[in-house]
Amino acid sequence: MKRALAFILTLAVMGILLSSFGWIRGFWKVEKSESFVKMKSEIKKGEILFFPPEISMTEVTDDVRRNFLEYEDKLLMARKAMKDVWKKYKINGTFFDEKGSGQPNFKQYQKLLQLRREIIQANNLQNHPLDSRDLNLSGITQTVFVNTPKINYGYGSLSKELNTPYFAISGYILFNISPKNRAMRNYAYEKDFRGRGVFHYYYCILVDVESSEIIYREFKKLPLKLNGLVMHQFLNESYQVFSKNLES
Amino acid sequence: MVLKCKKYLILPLILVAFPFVAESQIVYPPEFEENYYQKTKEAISTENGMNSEQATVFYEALYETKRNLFMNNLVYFEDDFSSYIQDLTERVLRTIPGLREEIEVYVTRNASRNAFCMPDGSIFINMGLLASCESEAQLAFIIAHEAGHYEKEHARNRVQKLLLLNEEQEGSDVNEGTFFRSLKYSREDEFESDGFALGTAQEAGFNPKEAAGALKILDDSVVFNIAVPDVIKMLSSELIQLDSSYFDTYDESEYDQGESLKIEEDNELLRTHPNIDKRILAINEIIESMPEAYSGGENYLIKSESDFKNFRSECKYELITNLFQRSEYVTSLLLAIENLHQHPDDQEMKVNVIKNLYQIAYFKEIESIDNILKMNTLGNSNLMPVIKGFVSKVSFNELRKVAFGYTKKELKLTQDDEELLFYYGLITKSYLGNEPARHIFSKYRTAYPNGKYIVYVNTLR
Repeated sequence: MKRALAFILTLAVMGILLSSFGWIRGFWKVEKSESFVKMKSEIKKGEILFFPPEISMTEVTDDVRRNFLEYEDKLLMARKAMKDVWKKYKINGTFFDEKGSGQPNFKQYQKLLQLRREIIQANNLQNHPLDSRDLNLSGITQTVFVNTPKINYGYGSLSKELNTPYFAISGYILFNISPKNRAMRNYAYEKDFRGRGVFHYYYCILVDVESSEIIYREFKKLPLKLNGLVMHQFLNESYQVFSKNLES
Repeated sequence: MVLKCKKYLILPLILVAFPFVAESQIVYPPEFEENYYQKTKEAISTENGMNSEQATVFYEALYETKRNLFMNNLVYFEDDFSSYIQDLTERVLRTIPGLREEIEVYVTRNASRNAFCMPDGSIFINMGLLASCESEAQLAFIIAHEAGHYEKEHARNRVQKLLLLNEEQEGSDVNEGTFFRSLKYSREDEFESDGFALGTAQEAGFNPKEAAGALKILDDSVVFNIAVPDVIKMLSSELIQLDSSYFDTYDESEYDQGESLKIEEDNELLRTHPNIDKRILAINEIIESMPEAYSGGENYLIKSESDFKNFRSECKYELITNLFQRSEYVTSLLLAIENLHQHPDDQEMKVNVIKNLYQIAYFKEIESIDNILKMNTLGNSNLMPVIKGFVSKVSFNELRKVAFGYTKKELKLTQDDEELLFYYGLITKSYLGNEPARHIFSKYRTAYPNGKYIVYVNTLR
C-alpha cells in the first residue's frame, strides 16, 4: 500500500515537474537556406543589422484585446537580453536605431520598414512554419528550406548603403485564444486561430538582401511567463544554436 | 583677461559649429520619434470623460493603430501625394483655421476606396480612394467629411456608447463585446458630417454637387474597363495561345477575402460609411436648401482639371506598385492590364504585367498561390473572379510560358528598360534555365552597372 502510494506520489511530482518544464521540450524549429551553409564564414565576419524586436499580442476572450501597454517593458527587456547574448556568443549584431553615425537616413529607414514588411510577407505567404502540422513537432528540428522564402528583388542597394547584406527581424507572438461567448468563438473561427489556449512564440528571421532570400529562420515556443530572466535563458539557447550553425 | 577672451571665443565657435552638429544628426518626422506607450499612458491619466478601464481600451487601440500604420511603412511621408493632400486640407479648412490646426492628414498605401478619421484628429486617406476620385472637389468633400467626424466628436462618442453597452451586457452569452468590430458611425453621425462637409467645402470654394460622386466612389465596386477577350489577346503570344476556357469564374466563396497582412484593416476603428443611397438623397436635399447657391470657385482649385487627371494616373501607378509590394500580385496584374489596354505604349505598365506574372508563376510553383488569391484589398470588382479563375487554373509551367512569350513579344516593340531587362532575365532563368539567362544578365551588367538590381545580378555570376 505504502509502495503504491509512493509510486502515485512520485508520478504526480514528475507530472508537475514535466508540465512546469514542458516548454523546454516544446516546439522549436530552425531552418537554413542552402546559401546559409555556403556563406556562414561571411555571416560570422559581417554585421547583422537587427530591427528592434516587436511584440504582437492577441487576446480573444470576451472581447478582442491587444494589451498594447504591456509590450513596453517586455520590449526593453528583449532588447537588453538580445544585446547580452550577442556579446556572449560574439555575434556582431546591431539594432539599426542604435547605429550611431551610421544611422540610416529617413529614406533608408522607410526602405527598411518596407523590408521588414516584405520579410513578414515572405514568411507568411511561403510555407508558414506555424502551420498546425508543424506545431506538433517537439524538440529542435534543424532543416534546410525546401523552398527558400524569397523577398522581392531591389533591396540589394541597402547592403552598400548600410555596409551589410544581413538583416534580421525578431519578436514575440503572444496568443490567448479562449473565446468565452458565441460571438468570440465565431471571431476566432473566422480569423483562423487553429489552437485554443495561451501560446507564446519567439521568432528570428535572417535575410540576405543581396540574394533576396531568407537564409535562417527560427521559431520557438516560449514559457507563458515572459520576464527578463526567462528571455535571457531562451535567447541563450537560441544563439548557442545559431553560433554552432555558423561554426559547424 | 585670457579667460574672458576664451569665453568670448567659445560662444561664436559654438554658434558656428552648431549647424554642422545639427546636420550630422538624422531627424525623422515626429510620427516616427513618438513614444506611443508614453502617449497612451498620458492620455489615460488625463482622460476625464471615461473611466480608467474604458480609457485604457480606447487609447491603446488608438495609439497602437497609429504606431502600426507608421511603423509598417503604410503611410506616405515627404512626397508629392502627402504634400498635395496637406495643401488641399489647408484650402478646404481655410475658413476654420482652429480645426485645421488640430487635424493631421495622411495618405496610406492601402488599395481600398476608403478614408477614416481617428478620434485624435488624424485623417487617413487611402491611395485606392485618391486614385478613384474624379475631381479635386470630390477629394475636398471627403477631407471635410472626415474633419466633420472629428469636429463633432463622433468616434469618441460612439466608443463611449459601445463601452457602456459592453459593461451592461457583461456575462451575457450574446455579448458582442467587440466595440472595435462594431464601431461604425451611426446614420445620424454620417448625415451630420455630410452636412458639415457640404457647408465647409462650399465656403472654401468647392462645388458641393460633387459630394454625391464622392459617396458613390466609396460605395461602388470597382469596374475594370476591359473585356476578357482583350485580356486573352494581350497575354497570348506566338508561344502560347490562350482561350476563354482558361478564364472560368473563380469561386470566391471558398476563401475569405484579404486576411493576414492587412494590418490597418484589422482594426475596426477604420470601418465607416454605410447607407450611401440615402446619404446621397440627403445631400441633394441639403444642397437645395442651402441659403446661397454655389457660384463657382475654380480659382480655389490647387490642380487644374488636366493636372488632376495626371495626378490620378500617378496615383494608379503608385497603387499598382503598392499592391506588388504587398504581394497582391493578381490585383496588381489586373490593374496593370487595364491601364495597358487604355495606354498600349506604356512601358512601365508592360513591366508591371511581366513582374506580376513572374511572381504569380513563382507562387504557383511553390504551391502557395492560395495565399495570394485570398488577398484583395481593392474590394469587389467585375473582372477579379475571372482573372483569379485564370491564375488558379493555369499550371505554373504554362504561366511561365505566358510570361516568357509576353516578354519576348513586348521586347520587340519597346525600348531598352532596366526593369524589363532584369525581369526578362529572371523569366528566362525560370523558363529556359541558367545558361540563356546568364547572357541576359551579362547584358544588364553592361548596360546598368549601377542599376537597382545590380547587387542581385552580381550574385548570379
